[in-house]
Amino acid sequence: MALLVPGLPAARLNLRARLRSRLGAGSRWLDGLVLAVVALAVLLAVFGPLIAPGTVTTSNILDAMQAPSAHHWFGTDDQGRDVAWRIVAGARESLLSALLVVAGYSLIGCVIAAAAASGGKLVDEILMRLTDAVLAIPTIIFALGFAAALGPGLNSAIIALVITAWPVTARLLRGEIRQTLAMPYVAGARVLGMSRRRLLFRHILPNSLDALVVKWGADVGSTVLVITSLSFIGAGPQPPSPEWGAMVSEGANYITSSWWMALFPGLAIAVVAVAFALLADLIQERMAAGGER
Amino acid sequence: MTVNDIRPPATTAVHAGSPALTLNQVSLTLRRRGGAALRLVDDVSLTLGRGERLALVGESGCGKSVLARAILGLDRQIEVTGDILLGQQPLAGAGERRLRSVRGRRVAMVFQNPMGALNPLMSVGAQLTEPMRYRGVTGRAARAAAGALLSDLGIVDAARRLRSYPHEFSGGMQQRVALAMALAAQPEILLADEPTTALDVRAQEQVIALLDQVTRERGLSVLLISHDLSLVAGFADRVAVMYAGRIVHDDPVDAVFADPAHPYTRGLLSAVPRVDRAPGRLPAIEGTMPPPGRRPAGCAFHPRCPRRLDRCDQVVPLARPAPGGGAVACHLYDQTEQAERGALTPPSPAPNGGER
Amino acid sequence: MKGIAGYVSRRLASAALTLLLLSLVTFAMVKVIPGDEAHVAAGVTATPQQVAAMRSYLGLDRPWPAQYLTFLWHALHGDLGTSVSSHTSIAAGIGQVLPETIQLAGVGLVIMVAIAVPAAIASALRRRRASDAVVRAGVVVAAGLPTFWLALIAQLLLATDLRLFPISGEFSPHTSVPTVTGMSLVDALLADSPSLFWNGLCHLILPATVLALPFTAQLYRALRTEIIKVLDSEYIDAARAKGLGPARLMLRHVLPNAGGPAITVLGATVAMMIGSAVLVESVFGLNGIGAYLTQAVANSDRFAVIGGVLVIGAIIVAISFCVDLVQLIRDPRLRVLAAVS
Repeated sequence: MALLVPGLPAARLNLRARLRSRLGAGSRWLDGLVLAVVALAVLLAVFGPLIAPGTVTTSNILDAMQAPSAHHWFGTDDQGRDVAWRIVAGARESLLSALLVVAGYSLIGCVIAAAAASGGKLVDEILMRLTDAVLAIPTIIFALGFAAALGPGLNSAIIALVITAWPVTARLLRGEIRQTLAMPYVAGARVLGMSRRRLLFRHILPNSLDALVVKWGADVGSTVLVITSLSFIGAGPQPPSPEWGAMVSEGANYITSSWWMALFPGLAIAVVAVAFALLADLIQERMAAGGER
Repeated sequence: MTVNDIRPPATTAVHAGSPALTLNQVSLTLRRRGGAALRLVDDVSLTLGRGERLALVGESGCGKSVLARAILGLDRQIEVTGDILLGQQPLAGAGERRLRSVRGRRVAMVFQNPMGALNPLMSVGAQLTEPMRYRGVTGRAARAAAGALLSDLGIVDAARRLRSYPHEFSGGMQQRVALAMALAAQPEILLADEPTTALDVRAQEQVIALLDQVTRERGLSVLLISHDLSLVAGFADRVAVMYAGRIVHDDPVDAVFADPAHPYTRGLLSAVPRVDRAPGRLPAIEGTMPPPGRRPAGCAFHPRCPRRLDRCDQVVPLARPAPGGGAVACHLYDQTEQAERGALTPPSPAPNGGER
Repeated sequence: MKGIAGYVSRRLASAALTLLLLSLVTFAMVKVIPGDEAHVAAGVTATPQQVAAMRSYLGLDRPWPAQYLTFLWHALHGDLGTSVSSHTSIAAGIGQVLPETIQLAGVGLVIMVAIAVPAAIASALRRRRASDAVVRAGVVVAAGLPTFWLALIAQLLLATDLRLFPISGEFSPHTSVPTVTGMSLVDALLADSPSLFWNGLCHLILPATVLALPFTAQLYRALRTEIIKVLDSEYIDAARAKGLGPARLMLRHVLPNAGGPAITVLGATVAMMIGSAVLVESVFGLNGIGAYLTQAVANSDRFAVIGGVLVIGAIIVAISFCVDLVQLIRDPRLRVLAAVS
């Protein structure tokens, strides 16, 4: 339907605009909810271990395996520890490490992308093949290898993730940089005699980073998923750490009897991951709207 | 099946018999979410005779494209009131299945952007033979017919080009292919929506000449939509002028160009640069055409009209017989009737003192 | 045609370079990670002399480039070394378990496409207010659920509580099939036993669906966006004006054009699926490469893990090459770009 009704600024009959406007109207409350969840998660990540009572890591066999109740909102696990408080304490390991990982591989990705985009054809080709090679390595399996060598734990997980995740960022950023380089205003700036470095920092990078910022939101969410997956198989933080994946792994053994042990930590993971994904969507929408003005 | 079987003989009798297409008091309304209804086209009546060429001209946004698309029912969210008759068959409000039987087979359409009208992933031959299946022509016969059609339209080495893809053709060539695609199912009527607008001047001439040739050979009735009056002059038999959703003027082409009856038409023509006049500032019509929803009361053109009368801002002018033989919707021509009936009050002079 | 042949051969060369770099990266990982390989290979209780003997036996005292070349040479000949824990060939060990993982990913892909494609088409065509928002929310949630947790919950609810599906394993207890390809379904077919095939299929459906779920959401989103964009195009308008019916319109005009990004997503998905398969296999007790590798981790058998990484990496490079070829076949415009570049 390439039908245009002139004189009506926002009334293009195509579906994209309709969808967006529809979302914009009803999604105010959703935006608020997403931001609230993200803020809560970050707060817990920073302050969690500080506010959780010390009983989080100590055993109390008398209280073991209690179903959720008014006293223990999410029940207790096989060691008698309160599940809800453990989730609060575990936020740091699961979430903060995710933030660290994202920051790490983004940095490496940026450096590689800048090098590839400005280094000439041979450098570009080699770096891109290297990117392909590392991309071909499945993250979880590589992290397993790291755990096999360095011993399982948060450190090996973080290193392994940073090593395997930079390629996507590098590829994305290189694409953006190349697109920006092709823009007329860059040629114009060069003609005016602007130095390469100034060009890079003042024009190219800021414009190419837009896509990256949107990606960060979703990335934190998916990194939380990967970290918790790793600890689930035993390649990340190990019990008695209150890391959410490890909690699910412990809970798996008692799933048929004490389902709350595995359910709630997993739910926490899901909620955080989804919230960050929606945050990324939100950022993207706001940026698109801002661009159109 | 030979080439001669595909090409129907040229008809000598033009406008013979009942009209090919009749629009009777057709209005098009757009229903938007949230309830607001927008009247895009208002009370349009047109006839297209068999073998006739009618040009529908007007500015962007006057509703001419919407009207053409409504004939084929392409926009389901547009409400159609009034009658659209293909010969005797009513099309307005018809179901999707009935409309599909008409599209391509009886009424075909050529669009403005030639590259846009072709599927980039399908070979040209495949796209040409697609509508032929509805005529029962398939396989080798269809390919032969498609090749003949491309040759007719001036594409050399047609048989080989059938395997080419749209991006391998230039703009003018693509328009020829799009035209061939429209003709493939042997329609009686061709709706051409600004077929030359996206082309350079030379390609424009070629396409119009081609249109002229193939439609004459096949005896097609043509509704040509354009905003380019000069293009229309050499092609059309009749010109209908649209303004703000209404037909304001409908006359044979000679009358329109020699002595345009409607002030808007006159304004349009004087804005066209002419070879036989000294170059200078082109007279433009002041103001802009109002969009749908913001059309003034009375005659929509009255704010910009150099010859407006008192009643022009209150009463919508109906179609009256024009001196050229067609019809014109302008209060200036009410006088003829009134004079004949012996009006009691002489008409008041134009406010800006323009000549009558 | 010459241009395309040149492009394909250049892509092959690129893929080869990528594989080379992959081998380099994996080798570097083995070397860089702390720990004495010779000691691990010789065993915990080995004497210093035995460790030294192992070191020269494994060629660990030679310069690194020489070690790398030996490593590469062996890898190209299908020899990935010996597992320090089981003392069997790593390549053989991987070869035994890999087909099962491939089968799981394969079934997952089928499920993914079977759900995502019709859903995307239906959603793009309808665009009704209420259902659209709900589905969008559902998709986001589906993409964000941790696979291992979902596997556990699914196992708990659907298998244990509701008894709709088997709980774990490839076949029911005490049922097995002669191993030919290593893929339970294919072997059942080869053994001419429909009942075994059905048994195997029932055991695979739950794990495969859990595996495929987040990726189904991604594919649905990508496809739906593309279909909506294509539906808006002028050539779809022109095709409708030709009188084409909805089926033909969708199959020959909309989907081929909308399929581009979707195929790329599919290619990327396969890589991630193999990684996720590890998680699913451990929960559902399937004997695939995930189980092999977790075992290797538990035994600190770094060679086995490296071997696994190399094999899977090679498969993924091959798949991305195939995706490129498919795109070339699908879109003739790419052939022009390819021939020129």
